[in-house]
Amino acid sequence: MVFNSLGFLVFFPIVLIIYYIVPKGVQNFWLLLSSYWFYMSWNPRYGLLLLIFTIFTYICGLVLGKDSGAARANPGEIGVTEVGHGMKGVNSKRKRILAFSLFVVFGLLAFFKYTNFLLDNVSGLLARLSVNLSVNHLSIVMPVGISFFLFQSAGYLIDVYRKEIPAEKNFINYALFVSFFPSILSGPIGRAPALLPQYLKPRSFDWDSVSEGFLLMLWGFFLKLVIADRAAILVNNVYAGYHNIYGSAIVAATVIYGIEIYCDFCGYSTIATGAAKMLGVRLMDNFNCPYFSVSVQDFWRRWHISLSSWFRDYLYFPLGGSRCNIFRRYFNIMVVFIVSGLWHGSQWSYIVWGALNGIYQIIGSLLLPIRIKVLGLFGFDKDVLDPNKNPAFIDFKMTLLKLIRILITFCLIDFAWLFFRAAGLRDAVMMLQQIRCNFGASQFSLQYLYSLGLDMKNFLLLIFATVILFIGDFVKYRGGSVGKWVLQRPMILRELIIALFILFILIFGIWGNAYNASSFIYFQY
Amino acid sequence: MGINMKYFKRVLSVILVVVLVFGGIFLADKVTERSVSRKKYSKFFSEQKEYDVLFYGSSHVLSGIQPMEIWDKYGITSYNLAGHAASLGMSYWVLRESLQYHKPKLVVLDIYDMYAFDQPYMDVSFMHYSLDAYPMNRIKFEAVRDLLKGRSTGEMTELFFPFSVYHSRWNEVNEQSLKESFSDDYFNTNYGSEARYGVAVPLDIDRVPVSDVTEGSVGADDYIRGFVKICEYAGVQVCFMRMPYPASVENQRAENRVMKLAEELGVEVIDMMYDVEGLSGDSTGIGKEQLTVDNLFGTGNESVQVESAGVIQRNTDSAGIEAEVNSRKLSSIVVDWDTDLVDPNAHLNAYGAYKVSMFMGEWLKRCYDFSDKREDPEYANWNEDFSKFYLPALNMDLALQSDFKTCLMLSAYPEYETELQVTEHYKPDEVCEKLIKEHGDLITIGTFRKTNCEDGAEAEETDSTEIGEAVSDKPEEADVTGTGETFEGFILEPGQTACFYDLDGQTLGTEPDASTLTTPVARIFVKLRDTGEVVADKVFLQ
Repeated sequence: MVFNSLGFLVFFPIVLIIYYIVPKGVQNFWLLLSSYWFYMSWNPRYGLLLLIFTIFTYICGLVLGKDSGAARANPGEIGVTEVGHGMKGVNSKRKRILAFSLFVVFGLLAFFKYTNFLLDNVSGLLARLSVNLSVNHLSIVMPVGISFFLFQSAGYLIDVYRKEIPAEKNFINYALFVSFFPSILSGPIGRAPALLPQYLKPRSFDWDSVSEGFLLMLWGFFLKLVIADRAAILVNNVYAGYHNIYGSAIVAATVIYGIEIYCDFCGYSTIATGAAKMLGVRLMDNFNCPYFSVSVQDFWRRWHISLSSWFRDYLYFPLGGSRCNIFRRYFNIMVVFIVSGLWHGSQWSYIVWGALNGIYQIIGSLLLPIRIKVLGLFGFDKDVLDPNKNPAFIDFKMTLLKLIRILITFCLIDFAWLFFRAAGLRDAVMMLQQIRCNFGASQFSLQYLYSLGLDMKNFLLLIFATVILFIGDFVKYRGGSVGKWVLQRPMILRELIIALFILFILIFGIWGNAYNASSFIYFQY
Repeated sequence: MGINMKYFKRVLSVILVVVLVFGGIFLADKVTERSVSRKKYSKFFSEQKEYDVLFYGSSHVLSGIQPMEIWDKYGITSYNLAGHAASLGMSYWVLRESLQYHKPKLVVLDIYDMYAFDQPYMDVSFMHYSLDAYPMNRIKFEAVRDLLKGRSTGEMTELFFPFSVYHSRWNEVNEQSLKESFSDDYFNTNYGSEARYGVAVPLDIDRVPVSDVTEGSVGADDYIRGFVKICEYAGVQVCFMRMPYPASVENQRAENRVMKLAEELGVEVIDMMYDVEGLSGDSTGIGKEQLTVDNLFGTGNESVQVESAGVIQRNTDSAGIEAEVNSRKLSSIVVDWDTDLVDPNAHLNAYGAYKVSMFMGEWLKRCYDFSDKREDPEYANWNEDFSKFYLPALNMDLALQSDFKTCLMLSAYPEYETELQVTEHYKPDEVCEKLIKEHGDLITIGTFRKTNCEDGAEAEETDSTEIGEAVSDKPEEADVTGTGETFEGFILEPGQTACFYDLDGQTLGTEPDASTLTTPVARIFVKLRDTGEVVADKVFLQ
């Protein structure tokens, strides 16, 4: 079941109404049942896999928690030396348990996601060594959302190991943490310290939360149905038939893809956040105006925040983060971004995409002194490029600089999206060749653009909707909220705005059977 | 009080949003809908009186039965409820839906495709044509569930809630479509029928003996039995018909099976592909009268005997002719394959449909004793619809045709008088000659002459002859003066501007480029018989 399906439009109101009717003690159980129903509507067999996986990580968490509890209790009961020995033993045991549990968690991910990729590469490598080994692909159907709930569970185990939270003893609560239906398929990847305490408290109907959540869901549907799915028509056409399309059109499609993937993924996250909010659960804000980023580093603080912060906390920091020598720091960055690329898909193009994002940051860091010097010639302060300072639109000079930085960042990120969207690395390279050798700037016209899948009216609508998105994001960037503004309007006006927005989505959204609405892109990860 | 007011406002808020959204959807649905279904059914729904006959079936019936012509020539009221690619299952459900609005005296179902393609539907998009106009109700719900059994909820939803598909037509909305959305003035002027324009000749197809039947299927049998049962339950007479078309061997075998089932159910079959030369049958009916195709159209030697009850009796008494039958070609007692089809595989063209409608009208009049209501003041709206809407639409369609044979075909309607003027370049094939014959005495053939451009004097416009002479005179023998003529030199009706076409049906406008096509071949000049109003004036060049 996907959010943009009739099934969900029936499912969610029923879940919501019953959720607020049943006794508070049963709320979590009801949510758990609903979550399994939601997940199993895609493939019932994988509901069992989810359950077994949940039981496994639940037990691992308990074991890790029990030992951490013992470690905490022991000091008062035994001598200092014994405590030291005891702690060491316990820590070593906990480390082994954590290693084992993470091995199982990531092994599962590797099996479902990377087995065929590995087989391909091994056979390819052997072929280069003149060893012809015929390896057939295994028919593995990857459970949707596996990358999300596995990472969420892995984060929980590490947090328990680090004693940042106690292990969750209530299985219902823990299972709900793993399988909460708004976020199980495409995130946001929740953090146990933020989520689990919310499940412990009973949740009452709160009109404001429900209203805000509803508007968030509407915004998410707008992003997905009106922008992302419309943009996808053009992008899919161009990327599927790039051999016969001018390079200039590939560039245009790649720019539009930048909008598509943002609206697609942010749309899903926003619907998820809104649905959770209506249920009284606060999920992490997964996107924070990423295309207003002034640097690639800034972008990764604003894009897919739940994943970026997961990598930061559970991979980058353990590797040493930035508190080490410069080479090690660059190495850490590259590791994180290559792993991030691999997380998105078992293809070399994803790895290149991740690597590109890492390289951007390393080059940016290497060129920082030169950039500061150049900017200094134009009278800018030394700390104008400080990543921790994000200057506001103060004056013309600063605004111009900021706009240029935003534009450059978008170009860099969008170039990397070409690798992300291409069917494979070979296609990405060939598309770049097409851009270089057959750009066709003189042949590029509006008529040509309208022949790529979106007619003039649809294209103009896409632009109009993107302007609405820009306004919404700009307000958010400046610390405001369009949703809150709407809710503060006088009654009739407020209802009129909401109704018109719903109608706008219904009329101009790409939905319905005839259009075979595309799935959310991030389901495949 | 304060709390109550707060709750009241919240509830009001929700109600307001819901009302505004549903109101908006209602409007948007009206604006974006594909109106073909509404137009098809508009007259059916609005008619206050009960129909004599309702026709059901697939596109063969849709393009093959013309209720307005049946009305104009026989005074029998009927409506064509057939649908594009409508399967047997669809006909069954359309019957159930339509009987909620009207209870006719007779229901006629075409037996095409009943077994050859045993599937409940052909394409979901075609189902919209047959179902969209009906409001969501229990029968529609059951129909969709039945016809789309095993298909996705999404596909079912688009039929329950067509807005889910049509909303994407927002970019097709314009002034005209808006007018159509909110006006009742746009409807199917031929009471559900859709004429097709063109002339195509099929390949010969062997006739399959009646004993050769397909296996069929329980599902199809159930629909047929269900169709008959519903009619019986509603107190409506039912009969089947076999529309003429070049039926494949598979189709014929399937139809043979339906014939058998019809016999079992006691349902009459009006068989327009009846084998007049071959098959044996009971020829000893009581109270028979002779209904011959000759009498109706004067086009052949075939004859069909019709019981007063309408059961076909096969009039050959020779036995053991099965072997001979096998070698015979499929033919129709009503239409001519050479002139009356629009595509070589299936559908009748407008004039083929006219012939079938006339056959059907005569049949209904004789066998079902329907009274002629043309003079009945209660049915004045039918006469008005014919003259005010149907005929002008037919005229317009004729005026729009650009293919020579199609013009000949369409102008064969008895509403028209045709003048055909030809030059020595006119080389009619067998089809053209047959089409000219279809006009009977409503066509004159003459010579399309050239003016004397040098001295500016105009020659006589045509040498007109009545059809009897003209047809026997080969057009190429017509007297054409001069050589190397250009179309500029040919006389058109004073004050008239002819449209020019090439022989491939390409429109050249009213002032064609003389440098490319210069040789006139023929001119068709069509007038309404009653008023003399010019409907079409077309010059064909090569």
